[in-house]
Amino acid sequence: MPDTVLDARIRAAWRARVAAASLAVGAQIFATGAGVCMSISLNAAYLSVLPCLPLAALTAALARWSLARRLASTGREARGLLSRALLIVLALLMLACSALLLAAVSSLAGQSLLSEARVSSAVTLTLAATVLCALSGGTGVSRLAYALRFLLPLGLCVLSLLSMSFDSPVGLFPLLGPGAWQLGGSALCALGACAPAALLFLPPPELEKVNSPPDSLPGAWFFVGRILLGALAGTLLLLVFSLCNTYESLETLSVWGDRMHILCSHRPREGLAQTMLVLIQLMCLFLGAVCTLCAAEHACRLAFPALRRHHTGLLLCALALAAALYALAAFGVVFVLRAAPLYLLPLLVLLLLCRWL
Amino acid sequence: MNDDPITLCPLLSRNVEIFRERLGAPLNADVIVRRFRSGAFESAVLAIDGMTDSREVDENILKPCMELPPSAGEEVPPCERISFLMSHAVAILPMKIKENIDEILADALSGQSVLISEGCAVASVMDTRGFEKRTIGRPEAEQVVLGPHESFSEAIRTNITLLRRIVQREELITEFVTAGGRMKTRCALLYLRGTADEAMVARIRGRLERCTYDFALTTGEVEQIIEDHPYALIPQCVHTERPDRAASFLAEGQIVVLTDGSPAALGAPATLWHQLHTPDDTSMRWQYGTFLRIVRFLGVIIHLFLPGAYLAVLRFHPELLSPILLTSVYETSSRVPIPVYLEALLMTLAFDLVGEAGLRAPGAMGNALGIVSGLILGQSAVSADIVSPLLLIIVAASGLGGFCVPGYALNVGFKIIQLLFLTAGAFGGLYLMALLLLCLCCGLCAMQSIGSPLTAPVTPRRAGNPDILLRFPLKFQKARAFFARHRS
Repeated sequence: MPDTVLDARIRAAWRARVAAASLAVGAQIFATGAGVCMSISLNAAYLSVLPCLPLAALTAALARWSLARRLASTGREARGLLSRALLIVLALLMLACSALLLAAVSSLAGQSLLSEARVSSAVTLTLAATVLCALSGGTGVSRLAYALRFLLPLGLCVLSLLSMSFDSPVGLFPLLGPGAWQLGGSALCALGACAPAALLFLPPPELEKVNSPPDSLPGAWFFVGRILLGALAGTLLLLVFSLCNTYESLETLSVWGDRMHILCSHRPREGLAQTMLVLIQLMCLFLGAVCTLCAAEHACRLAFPALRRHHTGLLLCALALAAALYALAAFGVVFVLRAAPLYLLPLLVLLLLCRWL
Repeated sequence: MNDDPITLCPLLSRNVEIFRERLGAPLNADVIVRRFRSGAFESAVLAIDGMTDSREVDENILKPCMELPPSAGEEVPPCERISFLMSHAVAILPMKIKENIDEILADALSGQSVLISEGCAVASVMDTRGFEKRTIGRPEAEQVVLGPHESFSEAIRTNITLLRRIVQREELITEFVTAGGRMKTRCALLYLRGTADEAMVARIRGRLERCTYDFALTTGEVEQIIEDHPYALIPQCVHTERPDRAASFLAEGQIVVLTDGSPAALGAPATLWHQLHTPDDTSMRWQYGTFLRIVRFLGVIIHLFLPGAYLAVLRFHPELLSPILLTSVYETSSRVPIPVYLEALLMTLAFDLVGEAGLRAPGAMGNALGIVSGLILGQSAVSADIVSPLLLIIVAASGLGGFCVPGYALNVGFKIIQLLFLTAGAFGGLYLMALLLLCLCCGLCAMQSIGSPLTAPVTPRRAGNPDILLRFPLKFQKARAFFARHRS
């Protein structure tokens, strides 16, 4: 007799997991999607991230297929060198995504809401808050992402509409004009932005000790659809910001989405709308960073069971993240963004090896 | 202590001696041991003075036993003498046969009477409790406009009766569990068999039985024994003084824990939404219940965020205010000699002080204290330029919002969280407040109540009634809570 209570629990856990992945994908696309070619794509940045959408969907479909085949074994400790290597690569990938997102959060916060604070203060505050959120494990942040799955997009939509202006559609559609090749190049650089979808390869932490049959998994369309929605949200936000009056490309900021910082204008209460819009952006980026950090920690724990004790895995990931953040703050993110298309390659290679062996 | 016998022996004198020794008689003047002739053999009754109903003991135990003919029980084997007395003489309904001395003494100390006989190594423990207790009154902290006005009292048996009057179902089970090591407190677990999850019942039972504290006298202490997250700011069980509310918990599939000596019941597992709902929401029509809930949620949001948001806007984001308001705020703030954060902290703490003093001050003084403190101190503080008038309004509005929180425990938890947001707003503006909010929400979403998620059915998603913020009409409330075993 099917256990309906367990089934409901498994489906709820997966819904939360997929919501977290969707949020992280949307945040990553928005923050780093255009990569190093931002200065070329400008208003057409939303076009340059379009190839991320099918790639994100493909990653989600691959994760669903992989889980259905290996469900009984992914929740347990890694067996074999190949599985361990896969988990380590996944952990590094998630850490890289988390570092980029946190760099985006701290730089946007530093430029907008904490304009008089030092960069190191913003970075430290953000990192401390990330680790605090990650203490509750991937369960807490996934459930929160699920709870906010309508509220955040609605807030972004409303506040963006309040800030939009249709006076300046220049450069939105450069396909028939100069810059098409550069846009194509930018599109290639954007491919690594869908890397957070890979966290779907890991089962939710609360189901680690549960024998969930493959039938309990939500369908592939659920995975693919939700990830696509998240990716689309990030893309549309880039489009909307292109239409906002006015924005300024700030050279000192590290990642693209932040540069579309909306300046104040004379419209009434616009300061409030813009501040709230920046806040919601920050919350989305921050939650995406926490989701990926929790996934990195989870992958480390699966690869090395000794890290389960006393949050050792989280501590190590937090130290690595801190080092990455301060390095990004010191040296900039250009070299990281240049390598963005290669993020998914090691993972793909290992998955093929797993399938073949 | 290790040489003390564990079970009774057949010798009446030896048993009486053990009881006297253990209870400290004759030094302990409360101990009553009465030996008498019951038919063909001797018996004795053990009781604690003041705890038992002496009239019931006289009429239903002593008198019938002493009036037995001298030959009564001659042919009864010694080991069956207690059974003989219970079936031929004693006229008391609730009784148990026990042989463990520790258990017998614990029952005697709770007000029950113990009957032992010569040659019999078991005792009959009879419920003859007759101590003074408070009558059923009105709830102090959960008053409603519509709905019943009865509340629990300190006597556990009375509370169980109040529940059984409402939930007249054969599936209602009452299990007694003792909590505490040296000073045992009797607790009752009530649940509907087939509706409540047995695993959760077993979990609560196990946690109470494994309690290593010397004593757990109140419902609050019992809550601290059974909760999952002792360091969290949000309680994981719901308190109630009202039998009708406790009955609704039972119907939902929750387990109600009653503690002897405490006029409150615990409902577990509980969600955050249980703690934010009141009986008035259900007693009234759905339109009024929904409106009241929205007002209450707004009150909670104002209570938690308004003071911190005020400080954040003033210190970090003045561009959010209109120029006229900003000018007015700066004009009044410029005359105040202390930093705005300290000003806000002092006013918030003063408000909490007034509340605590009003609770502790006896009788009519408590009512007057609030008025005196609020009007005179507040007005004087503004006139003396110690605080700005706008901050006074902010703190008062926030305090009013706090009074909307239904449970006292949750109210105190929210007060602490309010102070955290106040500090975050003062030192990091809206950004730090947003980070703090996300940290707290992540922690809240990961919390459990007896293994059940605290924020369900919102997240993780569970099928449930449309009864979180909006209370839909009763005809749409078709399912029990998600943690119930049978949900239809």
